[in-house]
Amino acid sequence: MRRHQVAFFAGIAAVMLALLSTSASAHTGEGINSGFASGFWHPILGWDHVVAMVAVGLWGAFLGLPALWILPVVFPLVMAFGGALGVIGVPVPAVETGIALSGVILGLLIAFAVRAPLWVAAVIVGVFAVFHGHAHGTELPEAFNAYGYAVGFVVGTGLLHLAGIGLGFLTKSSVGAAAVRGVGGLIALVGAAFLFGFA
Amino acid sequence: MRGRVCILVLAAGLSAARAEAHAFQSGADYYAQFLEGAGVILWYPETLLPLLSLGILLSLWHPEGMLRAWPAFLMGLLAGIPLAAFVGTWVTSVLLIAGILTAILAALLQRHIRAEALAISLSLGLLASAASLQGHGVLELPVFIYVGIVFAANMVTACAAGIASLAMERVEANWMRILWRIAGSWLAAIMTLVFAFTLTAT
Repeated sequence: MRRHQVAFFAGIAAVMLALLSTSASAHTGEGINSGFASGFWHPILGWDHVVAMVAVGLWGAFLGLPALWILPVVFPLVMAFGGALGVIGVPVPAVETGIALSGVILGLLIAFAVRAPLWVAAVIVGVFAVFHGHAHGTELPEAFNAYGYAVGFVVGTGLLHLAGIGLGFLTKSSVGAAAVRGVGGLIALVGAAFLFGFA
Repeated sequence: MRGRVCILVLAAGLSAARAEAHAFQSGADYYAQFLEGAGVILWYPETLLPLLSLGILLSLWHPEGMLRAWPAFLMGLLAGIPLAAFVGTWVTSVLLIAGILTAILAALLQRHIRAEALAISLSLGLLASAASLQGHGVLELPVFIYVGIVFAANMVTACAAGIASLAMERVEANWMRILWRIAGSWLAAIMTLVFAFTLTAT
């Protein structure tokens, strides 16, 4: 793929993210009156989730193949496991702390361009995925269609990963790589804001 | 002795109680019966999603994976019809777990082997028809309901396999194959959540 095409797709991904993300207060899914829409917007309308999902794609892009696609494959699988635990009422400790920490740690890994072995990266992403999934599983609105919620939730999360991978293509150039590392720093700051109760 | 066992098995099969999940109600209209049978596959995520996963796995195994595995899949579907009389609602959970494993294999394995593809086709065919007809004895229902189930199961699997094969044939780049593996992981994730919902519903 040529450099200008990479920049074009990365730009689209960035604009999509900016348009789709609103404040975390919208995260409850209130006012969304169908299962699919509720599940779809749930991960997209909360900054704590958005930054972590995008970070997974970004870090995958930094690590290169095969991590580029293995991390976004592992995340939904483990996240759904966490979601299932939430749905059936199995408690997971410190869920909100885990979600906030995921932003901090994944952001720092990107900011410092850490090239972890694939299995280490998969374990880190997998552990955080449990927290994100559990939060969504316990927050399932009972009035909505559960099947539609499941489909929307997985698709919404997957699209955020793809947006992260799209942005990650910027790492093909040195300027882009620096920009992506800067985004990693921002992600860590957003995570820290949630961790210390500023957001 | 063997004869008595056969008679007992046959009696159990023919006198099995109606399932709660799919209490077929269409009347004498053959088309309505066909649609009702097909609807059990098409409108229930517990049967639809595992078959979609199977279609994707077969295309990832081989460009003509569906054609090669079709005999095993059909054998499974047909064997599931008499088996349905002996299974309870638990068979739906087993089908979902088998579907999750199929989708995980499709997502995580780089290459697939013939034995794996055939065994999964046979198992999912067996479980899909047993889950669709759970509790119903052989030929207890109108024939066109069975026709509808077998038709829809084949259509869903073949469509998923056909679309995936066509996409990978048209775009030979590795990312297209990766895209279908990601689709497999999404299916596995959705089925895991659906499985959790079925656990809480019971």
